[in-house]
Amino acid sequence: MAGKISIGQYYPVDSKIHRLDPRSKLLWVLIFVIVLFNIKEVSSYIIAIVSLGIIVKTSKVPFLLILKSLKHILFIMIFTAGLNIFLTDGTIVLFEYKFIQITKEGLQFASLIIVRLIALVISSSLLTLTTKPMELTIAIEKLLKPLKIIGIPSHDIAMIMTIALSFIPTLIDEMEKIMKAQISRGSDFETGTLIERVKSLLPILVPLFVSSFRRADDLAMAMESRCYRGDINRSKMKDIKFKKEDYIFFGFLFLVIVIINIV
Amino acid sequence: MKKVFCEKVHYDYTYFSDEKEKTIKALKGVDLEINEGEFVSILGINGSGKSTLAKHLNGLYKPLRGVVYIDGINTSQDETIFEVRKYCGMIFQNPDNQIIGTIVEDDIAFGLENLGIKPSEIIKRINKSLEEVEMLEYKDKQPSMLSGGQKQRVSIAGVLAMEPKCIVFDEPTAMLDPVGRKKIMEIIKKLKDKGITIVLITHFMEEAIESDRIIVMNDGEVEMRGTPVEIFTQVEKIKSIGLEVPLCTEIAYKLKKRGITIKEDILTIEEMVGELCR
Repeated sequence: MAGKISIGQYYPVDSKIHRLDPRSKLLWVLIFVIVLFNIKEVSSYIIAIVSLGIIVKTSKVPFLLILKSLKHILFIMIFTAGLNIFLTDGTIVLFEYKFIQITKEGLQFASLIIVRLIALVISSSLLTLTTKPMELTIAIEKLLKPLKIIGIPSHDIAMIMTIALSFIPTLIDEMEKIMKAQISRGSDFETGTLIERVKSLLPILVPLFVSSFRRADDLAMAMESRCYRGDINRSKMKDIKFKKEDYIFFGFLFLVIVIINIV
Repeated sequence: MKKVFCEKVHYDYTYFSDEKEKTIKALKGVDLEINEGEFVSILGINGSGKSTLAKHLNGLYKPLRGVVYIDGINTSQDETIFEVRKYCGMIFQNPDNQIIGTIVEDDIAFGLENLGIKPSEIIKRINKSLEEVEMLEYKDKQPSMLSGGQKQRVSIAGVLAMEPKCIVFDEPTAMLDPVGRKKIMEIIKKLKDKGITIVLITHFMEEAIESDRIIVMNDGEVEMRGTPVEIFTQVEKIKSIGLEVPLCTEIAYKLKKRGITIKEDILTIEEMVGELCR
């Protein structure tokens, strides 16, 4: 099964967004999220959403695929919306029953929160849909490089991410093997209460943990034997560079922010 | 021409059990000499110290006593350790635990990036080494989608790309099926023909037959050394160590015991057939 799992959710098509420097996309998500949480006017929201729409359109990723990523946060969305509807104080009361009160302000606030959340998830999943995991790690390494002065090991962080990514399928495979071994000895993972089921996961996690350590030891040795010594004198096969498209992209972003501030 | 040279190498493992420090003497004064371009097999049962010895050959372990020289460089010196590792590559048993990188190409680039080689040269070397292990069409694949044998071939390509003069194989076929095993042996023989020094640590006698010289380890010491014929004709001694002899040698040995006149230095099926049809 693990063989069929693809790491990340990269959607392989050729588009202007795919070709962008991963750093640009990463910075865009960061800026977009900050902007999203700092705007209050409905008109600003509309502009932000339109800009997101344009980027989604140029990325050539099917919209349905992006919507799928919203599935995971459906519960959080309903929960926060519910809280906001019922707990926001307001002057214009639309509905009242005993202590429950729904106000116009509450509804407005809840809908803004939902829009925010949706835009947040869409923007971040667009990043992983259009960027290969390896490109992302390179981007993070390069973006964190200036922080090396204050002692943040940017290369090490990126290497850890790379290894984690490449070992996900191996570990899933391993987990399935352990699960089968435990099932064959009479373990039951499917029935019982939630607590019982969580408890029955323990005999899987412990061996998985132990074997991961053994793997880590082997891997460290294999890396050392291939002359690994951190980022001392290290070259890069796939380097990333800012291109003309990246400057256009940043221009577009700048424009959006300016418009939001004017309106 | 002695490119790999070990003298009186000692190595201990320390571990804690019942809150007491215990020591296992893994290597007890091993001497080893390997010439350039030679194919040497190291045999031995589990715990005989053969893997420990292998890890001394590219400086992963440093001898507690004694010295290891690789291409004239002492492996105990930290400043030159990367020269040693560049000269002597290593393939491990578990193919899953030595692939770094989410796609095949990235894994092979890993070693080259460590050496600080230019991107254009890296791409050239990736293609060349993948070609050599017949894995070029898997260049963009995820390692997890490959079979064990294919993964092991990717590992070999990764080491090969660094252009080592010597490669140590630490039980490379132990986790593979017979088809994968055969392929790996073919590649090893091909590398030997190219002039690369091969050190093969193995459990399979059929693989050891192919080598120029065999070293049998037992309990941290070198028990026997010699050509495959010299080693495997000493059937009783081999068995007393806990090892097997190749199937055909065993048959010849048993036939001889029954009083049938047959040559004793038979190692392969071809030789057996030739002898029986005489």
